[in-house]
Amino acid sequence: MRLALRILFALVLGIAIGLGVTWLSLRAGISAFEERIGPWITSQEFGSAEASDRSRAIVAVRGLMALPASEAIYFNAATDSEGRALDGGCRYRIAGPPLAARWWSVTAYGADAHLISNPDHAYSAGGDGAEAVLAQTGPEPGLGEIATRDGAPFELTLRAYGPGDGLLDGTLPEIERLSC
Amino acid sequence: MLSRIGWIAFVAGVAMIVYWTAIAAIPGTIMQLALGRLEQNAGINTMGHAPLSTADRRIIVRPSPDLAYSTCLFDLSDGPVEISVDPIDAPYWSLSVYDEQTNAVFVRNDREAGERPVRIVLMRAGQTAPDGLETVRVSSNRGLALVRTLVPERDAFEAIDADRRSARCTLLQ
Repeated sequence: MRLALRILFALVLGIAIGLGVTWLSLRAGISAFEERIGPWITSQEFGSAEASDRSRAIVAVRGLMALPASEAIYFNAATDSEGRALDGGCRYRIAGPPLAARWWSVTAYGADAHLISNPDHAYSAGGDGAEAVLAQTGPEPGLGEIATRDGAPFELTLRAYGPGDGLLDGTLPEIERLSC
Repeated sequence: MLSRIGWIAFVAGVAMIVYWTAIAAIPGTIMQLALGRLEQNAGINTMGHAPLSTADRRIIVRPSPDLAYSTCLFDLSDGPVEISVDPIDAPYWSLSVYDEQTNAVFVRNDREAGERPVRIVLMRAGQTAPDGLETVRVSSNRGLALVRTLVPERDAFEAIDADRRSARCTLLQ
């Protein structure tokens, strides 16, 4: 009886350690994949087939159904350019020069990765790659602005479709807090 | 009775088995969950055309509200599947194919298509397709073909939606 309990305890401990190491491994791997450019975080591994099971798992967790980097590059930001967490109660301006891409778009997501509910479907702003990046967010958005939710954190995703060679070497938009 | 070192080795062995099992299972498990949700958009080997994503309605994780998604959940168990997409009058569109491990095994966009239809046959090793068709080998029976069409303004959706509905997903008999 005592031996059975010890075996059971060892199994539970082994399973817990195994799952913990899995979580830590994926988290560390995600960081290793990512590149930081100002407040923006990106990865060029999304959607690509990697040799190891660990790499596949990392890509699956972070980039399910994402296009490969040759087709689109995704940048995520959870802070403004001064490193402060994005706050749905504040107004922000996302502005920068044209991107080396066919098309760009900026979208706001809640912490649950869902679009932020609003009656006007004001989820994103976008433009031709030749156009300067310009978008504004706020809890009471004006025409053409992106809606956020007062009191809730949010994230921004900048998508660049048809990225050019110089995209990652160029300047990405600044995220400026205008008011709270 | 096991020594202390023996117990430590036992726990470490269990932990390693759990780690490798979890790592190997994650891509397929996540994809299965996603494919199950996508089946609500259209049946197997059928192209479905989802409306634009909203806060309450999405078919993929972290959807782009600027893209109209057309999906075909394919199953090659009964033979190759043909995917065809005619040129769509939109600033950007692309066809991508994902295997069951979430890898993108094929991507082609409107510029690469050059105003011509994209017509491919998805097949497993050992399957054959009619001569003259472009083939794409997929390492799993199930997977997803995804057409992304850029809708620059929501008002433009109706016309683009009508245009993209020529996309087809068909089991080749």
